[in-house]
Amino acid sequence: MSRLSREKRILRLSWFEARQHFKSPRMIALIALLVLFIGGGSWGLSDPSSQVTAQLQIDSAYEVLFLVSLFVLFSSTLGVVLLGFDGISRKRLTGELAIELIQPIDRIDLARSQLQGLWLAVFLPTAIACAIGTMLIEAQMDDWPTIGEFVYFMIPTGLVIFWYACIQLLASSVAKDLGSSVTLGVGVWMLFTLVWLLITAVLAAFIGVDVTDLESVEYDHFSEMVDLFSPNGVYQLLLEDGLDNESAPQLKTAYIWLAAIAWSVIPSALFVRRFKTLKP
Amino acid sequence: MNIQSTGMERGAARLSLSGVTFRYRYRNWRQPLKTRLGAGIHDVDLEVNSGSILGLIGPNGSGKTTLLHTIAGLNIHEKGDVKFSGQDREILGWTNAQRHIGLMPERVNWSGSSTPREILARIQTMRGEGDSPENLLKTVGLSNRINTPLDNMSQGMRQRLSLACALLGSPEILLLDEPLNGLDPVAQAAFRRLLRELADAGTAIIVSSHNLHEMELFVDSLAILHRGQMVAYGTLDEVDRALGCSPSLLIAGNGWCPPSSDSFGAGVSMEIMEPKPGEKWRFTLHRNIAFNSNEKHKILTSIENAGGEICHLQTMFPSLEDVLAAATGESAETVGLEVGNDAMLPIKKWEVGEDE
Repeated sequence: MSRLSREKRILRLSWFEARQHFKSPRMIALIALLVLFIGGGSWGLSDPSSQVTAQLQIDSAYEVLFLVSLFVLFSSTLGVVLLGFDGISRKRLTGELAIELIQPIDRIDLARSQLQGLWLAVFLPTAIACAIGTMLIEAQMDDWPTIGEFVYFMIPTGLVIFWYACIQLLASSVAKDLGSSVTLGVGVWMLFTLVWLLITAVLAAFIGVDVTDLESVEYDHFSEMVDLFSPNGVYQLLLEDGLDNESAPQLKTAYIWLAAIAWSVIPSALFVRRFKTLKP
Repeated sequence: MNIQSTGMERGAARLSLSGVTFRYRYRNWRQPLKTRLGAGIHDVDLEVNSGSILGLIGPNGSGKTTLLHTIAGLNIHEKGDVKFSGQDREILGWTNAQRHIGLMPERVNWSGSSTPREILARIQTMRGEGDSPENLLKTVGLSNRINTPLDNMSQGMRQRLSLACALLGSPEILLLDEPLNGLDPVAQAAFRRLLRELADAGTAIIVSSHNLHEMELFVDSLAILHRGQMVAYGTLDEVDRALGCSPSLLIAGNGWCPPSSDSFGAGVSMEIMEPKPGEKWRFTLHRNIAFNSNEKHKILTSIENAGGEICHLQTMFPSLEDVLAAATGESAETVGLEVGNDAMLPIKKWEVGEDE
């Protein structure tokens, strides 16, 4: 089979997978989350009469988009968990996995199609929600982000959804039942989304960084380093890197992109490796 | 019906297994570097010819699904050879080897809002084939359910969809794991006819079941698995003769009752259950080889000619327990149906639980 037809086959399978997600009732929950968080966040944060906190000065549409990234992080990654927590384990429980695994297709291709399908199912609605959010920002502020800024915003957004898709499918392939799938899926999401701040503070205290002043340069630098080990952290650092010098991270851009590459390669390689030896 | 011929000469060995051994391995969380060897299949020899149906029977946990998964490539065997048309599956390579195989797993619980058409289109894409799935859905009797969401399908329809998936690409070896589960008697009969047509078109078929009676209706040969090992294998007659487990005849009637089995020929034993000659009576006849219809007719005629009136005639199939007891030499009580971790364990000598 030629390289082109192989890629075409993976793309077709990814589309089948994504379409299954689009038709599932869970997609309604995801769309509700995206509309509430991304739409609502864009509208509220770009309202000239609103003052989020005294420290935040919102001057441009891109800065609103940057703040909306917090809502993207919350809703889209939760969406990946919603759609992907039982991506493999459900098929295993129903018996569909055995039918898929015996087909004359390379397991790597099959794993890639699962991954791309889940990614597509979350990224497409997120991208649409972000585009609508941009329109809402324009309606409130009379300012568009440039095409470059929007693309720069969407690249890390696509990446963070991909990282979570890898993690969720990996967890789902390990889980033997639905209960374990939910626990692993939600647990990983909670670790990076809700508990990471606490872990950073505990680690800082452990190695002697002053944690009484969370605004200090020392703590800031330390938390940026720890954030490299969290997909959410790397996402935020990538976006901050596009801001002006004052708000930009202290870490070098190369380190941040290196972490992004590591997050793209390691979980996906682990998932593919796991998929190659998967038993129905 | 639209069944494609596999283009294989009938009677040629399509699948052969020699000395195939596979054991499950379990991780121990306390000692993550060690694996614990569990149950599996041991030293299985088997040959299935093109155009024939092999019935694989055994109690729960005897290794039927493990054997089917090993043939299908889902379990990698540790010892022995698996050959498709004389070619080793390792030499054929994954993609080529899998083209020979169609697997229908046990009770696939298809669910979701996808339709049979979409499911088949997806599997076709995986196989790299682009034929229309409509004919296949017609073959399995789902032509008017092409666009029905899976959630709205009955278990019988789901079984048919699983069969359609197994038939995609006209594989030369069809592995069916408990295919009659969940089907009503009418659907079961249709299913058996369909399997016979597939076999007549040259497909080699292996069907697993724990129901010996339903197997005898349509298989050409039988393989009996117990604790992961093949305890009997051959044509129905060969297995019957080897184990002495052919079906008995239950005859009930009024009036004259034959006093002994002498009048029914050599090798026939008789057990009278309600010995009330002149009134109602009931007895069973048994022989190492099953009675054919001519012989049954002769027996009934001889009773009627002597003044007896036949009320009831029934073929009594031996239970799986009886067959296993005969095959293993154990008593029906010992052979039991208790399933545990070591259920596939050894009549022969290997041990479960040894660490590596």
